Amino acid sequence: MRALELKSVRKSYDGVVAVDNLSLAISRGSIYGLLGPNGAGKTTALRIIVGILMPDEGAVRIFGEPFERRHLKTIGYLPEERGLYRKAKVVELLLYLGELKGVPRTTVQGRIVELAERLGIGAALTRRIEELSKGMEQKIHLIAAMINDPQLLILDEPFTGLDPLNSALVVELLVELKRVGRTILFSSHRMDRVEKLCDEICLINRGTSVLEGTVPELKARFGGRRVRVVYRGEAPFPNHNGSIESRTNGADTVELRIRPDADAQEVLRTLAASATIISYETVEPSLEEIFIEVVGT
Amino acid sequence: MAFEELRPLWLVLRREYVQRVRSLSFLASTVAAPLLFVALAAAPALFPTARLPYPKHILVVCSTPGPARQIADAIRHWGVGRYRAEVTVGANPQEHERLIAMVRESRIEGFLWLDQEAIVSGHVVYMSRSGLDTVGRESLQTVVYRVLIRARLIRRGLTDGAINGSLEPVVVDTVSPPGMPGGTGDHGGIAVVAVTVTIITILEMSLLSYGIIVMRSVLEDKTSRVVEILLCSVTPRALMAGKILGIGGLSLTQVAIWGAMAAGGLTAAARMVGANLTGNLALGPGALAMLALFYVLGYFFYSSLYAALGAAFNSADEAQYWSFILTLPLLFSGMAAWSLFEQTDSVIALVLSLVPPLAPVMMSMRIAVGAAADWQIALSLALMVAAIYAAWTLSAHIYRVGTLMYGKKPSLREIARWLRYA
Repeated sequence: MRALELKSVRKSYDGVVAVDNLSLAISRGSIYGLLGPNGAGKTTALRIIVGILMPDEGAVRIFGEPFERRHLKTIGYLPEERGLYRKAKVVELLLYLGELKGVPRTTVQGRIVELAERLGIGAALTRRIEELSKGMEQKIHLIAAMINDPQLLILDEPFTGLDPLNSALVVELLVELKRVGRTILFSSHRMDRVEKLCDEICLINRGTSVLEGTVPELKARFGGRRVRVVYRGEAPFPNHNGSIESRTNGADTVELRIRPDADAQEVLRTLAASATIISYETVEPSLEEIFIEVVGT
Repeated sequence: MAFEELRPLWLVLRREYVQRVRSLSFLASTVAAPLLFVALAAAPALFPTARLPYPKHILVVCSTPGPARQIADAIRHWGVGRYRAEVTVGANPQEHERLIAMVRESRIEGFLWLDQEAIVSGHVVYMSRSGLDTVGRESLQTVVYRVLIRARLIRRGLTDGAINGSLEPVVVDTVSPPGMPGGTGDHGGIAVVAVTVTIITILEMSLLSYGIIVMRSVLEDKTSRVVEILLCSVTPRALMAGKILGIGGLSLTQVAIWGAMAAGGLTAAARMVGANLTGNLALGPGALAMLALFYVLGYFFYSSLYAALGAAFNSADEAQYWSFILTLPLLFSGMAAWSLFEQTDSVIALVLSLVPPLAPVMMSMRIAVGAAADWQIALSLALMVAAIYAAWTLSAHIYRVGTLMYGKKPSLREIARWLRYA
């Protein structure tokens, strides 16, 4: 069963289309990455999923059912535009947010302590929000998003404000959540995190999906055209009949991007004619390179 | 509102009420504000004393000592304008010039010139550097009048006893039929004025200040960026309603405390002047319930508009202009209530008490003095409810969209466009 489905969702403001015919299907127990440049429509899409905005067209299905507000009890949400009451005490605020989610007070209390200990901020619970560091505040946001033990966790830029150690802690937590069957949808500009964490991704641009699939699928789709050459001899290499699109030179290496219609073996032969080739291998593109390639076109 | 929205609404309401009622600022504003208000109201009465640490020295000049002494005694006895009066006999031109010079040199405050011509004509001149205040002039005129009347009557051969009997003070009591406001006794009217003014002041101050508290609460959610977290659990409608109801509960708590303090203070004051407040007012349980109802409706009307302001803008500074516009009907109704206080039965008072933004203050004033007929109250209530529905609908639309809009200050046209968004 799909944890979340978006079917042809559209949302516009005064003729400006924020989300256009967007469809997603997220499997239960998976981690799904929603990527896109600034203003691509990610936040609008997430707001539609959690019922803060209503789509002009299309449908949202949660665990196979059309979205209703009662589903929010099973959803955790960490918005990009987030903040907390500065004067409030951490524990009181989390109790309030937990009860708003419909969780009994006694259950919320236990959950707060458990999550705070897990994220290493147990001592901060009695302090006021204004007394916390930015990183600790981020962890409080994460606890707030997970306070109802959600089946579907939606995180908009969850790594903002976290140092590498705390980012690793959060990654570990997300992996653990996935292991126990929770579904996670998150958007991020941190491509390294997305690449390591996500089972599937969707890249949206100008409100519409431009790329979707598992990370290996996408890499395979965009791979094979990039080769790394370790050489000895003269450089740079000639642009053999225009079959090389671009190159990135290193000390004794060069990364070449060859045209889709070019013959890699022919390129190798040409290179071997001007230098001694130590190694010649195809390189998988990083998600960031795929992102730039797709969005940049 | 759907049933499942009620629990989140209650939680928002409870938080808004509890966190504010426990705050030091609430305690300070509930206890200190009325005391400060009374102190500010009483302060002007202290100013003349502060300006005059010692009595002003004036001379009463007369051709014969009798009337001058009587006037000086009366001034001393009544403490007219806190003057120290001395008698000088010999109202001649040289003395007149000498006294003018003394006034110029500030050796005396002034002098009252009572020569024979003045006594006969009844035209007495008081010459001073700074003149007299209104109360002082009235009092001095009364003193001089009584003394000169006495002198004229003596010249016509009346005895002291006959004169005293003729000059006995006359008391005019204002009374109203039983059950009507105004009451019995010479202080009945004062009691009605005091209580009604107190009610109007409390209503106006409270509606204004709590509307702004609602606006600031919505702004806090928006500027702290907590609102999107809340909206994932509670509908915008329930969030706004919870805030308005929670802060409304707080305002009712404060108004109840202020009302109790005012009732205690006014009752004590009434006892001091011998008035019977309960017998003088039309404020039975029914009227008090109506006042509470108009207050609550007024609060709903204004607070929902203030909530829209909080949602539409990014800071209190940005909302300042529209916030000021919203205070105008309240200020106007307060001023209208003052100016129409003695014309509560007039057509203009009736019309103003039917206009929803003005009704909470105007109709309350008319109810307090017993000038509002039942049908007028019913019509005003119906119009208020309709206005609240319109204000609530408008504000809920603006709230839903505005709370998620960050960045530049929206124009009125943009806010109008929000009303079309789903």
